[in-house]
Amino acid sequence: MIKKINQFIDKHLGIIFLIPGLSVIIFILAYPVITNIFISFTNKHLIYKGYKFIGFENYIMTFKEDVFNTAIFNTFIFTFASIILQFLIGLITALILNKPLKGIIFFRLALIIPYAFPPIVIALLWKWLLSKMYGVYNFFLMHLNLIDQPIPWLGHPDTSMFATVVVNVWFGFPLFTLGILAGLQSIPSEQYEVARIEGANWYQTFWYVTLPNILTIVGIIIILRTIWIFNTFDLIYVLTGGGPINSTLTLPIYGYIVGWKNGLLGETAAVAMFLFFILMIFTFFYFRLFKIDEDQYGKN
Amino acid sequence: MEKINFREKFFYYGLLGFFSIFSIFPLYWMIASSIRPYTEVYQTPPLLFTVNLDFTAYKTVLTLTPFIKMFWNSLYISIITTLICTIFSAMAGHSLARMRFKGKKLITRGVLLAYIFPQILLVLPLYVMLVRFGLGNSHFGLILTYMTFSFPFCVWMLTAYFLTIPEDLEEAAYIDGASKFRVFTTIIIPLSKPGLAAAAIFTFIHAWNEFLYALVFLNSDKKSTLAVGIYRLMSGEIFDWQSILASSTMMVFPILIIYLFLQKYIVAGLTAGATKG
Repeated sequence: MIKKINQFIDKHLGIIFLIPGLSVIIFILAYPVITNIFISFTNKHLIYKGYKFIGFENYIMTFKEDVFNTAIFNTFIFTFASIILQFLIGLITALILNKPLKGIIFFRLALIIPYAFPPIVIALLWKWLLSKMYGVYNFFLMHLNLIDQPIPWLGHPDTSMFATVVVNVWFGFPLFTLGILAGLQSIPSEQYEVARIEGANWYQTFWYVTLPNILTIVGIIIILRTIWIFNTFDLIYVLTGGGPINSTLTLPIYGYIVGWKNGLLGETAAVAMFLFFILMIFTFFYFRLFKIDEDQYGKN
Repeated sequence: MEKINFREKFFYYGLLGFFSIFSIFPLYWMIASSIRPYTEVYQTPPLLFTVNLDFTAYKTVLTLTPFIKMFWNSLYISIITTLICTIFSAMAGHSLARMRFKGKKLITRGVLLAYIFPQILLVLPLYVMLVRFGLGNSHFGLILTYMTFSFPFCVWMLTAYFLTIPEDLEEAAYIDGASKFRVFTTIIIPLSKPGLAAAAIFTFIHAWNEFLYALVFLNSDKKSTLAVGIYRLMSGEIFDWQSILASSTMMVFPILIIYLFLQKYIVAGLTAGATKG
């Protein structure tokens, strides 16, 4: 009998191993996600009881909102500005950290520190650093004669998005640094040797040797970070709350406000679906762009 | 070994110095502001160096707020989540990396979609559901939720990691008559320590940092986690920057230690995914 059980387990271990994790995921996610899809077609309200089916009205209403369009615009600006700057700083720092310089370990430690900060602490700390009255950065900038008077970085619609992106870049570039550095260190030195013998200059070496070798890791980090940044909530929520005058209002914040402040759960659900579809398109596109096989585990 | 001349060296150190100050200054300023006398915190122009040490803010936070209780809540929620998530995702990852069965592609895609879904906008339906199951205002509900949100990424990372392990070893074990379960525990797991560590670190930090779900799910200070506790300090009646900075410092500390000592594992998972490609 025991032998039979063992044989059964051995034969179906693939499925058995999936059961614990998948059952928790299905228990926690399936119901809310399906409810979410359903609610997005109803006029359900946070406080008022009862709801009826209203078709695509939530989607139509949402798209008609000016604020929603502002939120889309802000989300794209926030995501792409953050990704590009994080990637560039990550690339520059990784390239230098890969050089045989003295004291590199110290710089390496210093450069990964921001990534250890929880979003809530980042938001509060940077509010303090950028404060108009007591902010130390305003003091520095005035000292360097870059600005004449203290600027309310997070409190003015002209600077708030810029400041939010800076905060996000500060937090996120170390992942690129670490990832690209790991990629660089895995490049066989023979490849550089060949490039040198062929008489390649530094940018040819970079373009034909370095870049192809780090492309996959860069691609993976860009995919992961795009999803994370696109869905950023707590950082922006605590830093600016989406303001002032909606200047940092992104889609997750918008969806949250529509649901919790205005009580329009149907519209929140529609926003969630919209976000989900955008990210699906992104992910698909990135997988193709960086030639990452999304079914890499489907192969064997 | 490439030679670096003086001008290049100057240029490299200049850039490194600039970015290092950019990344490290906020940490310095957070600690420096939290350990000086109250009056010096709001002084203009600000004092760049803390001369008079004063730990009153730490004393205030530790004695007048339920900080220690919340720290403990965060710690044990994070540890339990990490244990469950790492074990479950190692099993699922192994299954997806090595076993053959129907519907594998569907599961892979499903896990990827679960990862993409904007979790933040599920907070309400999920809360309603947990309350219905009697898990409202409970740590257990929060642990299940955190586990769910970290699971897809960990599975993805570990599957890629397991695929980098050569199959020859396992095949030798199978020929010797070992069961699949035995191969998993005695060959795969020991060889995958860096990948498992990466998954564990990721899960721990996600749970430690998470804010919105903890804010919505737990409605008493006694059950609250650290992220919510610090936020409540800010939205409380007395808006005291120094207490916020002191508690922030204490919240960052554990993660900082993890990062400084285990940083190589953080990339281990990512690079496994990349080299496989």
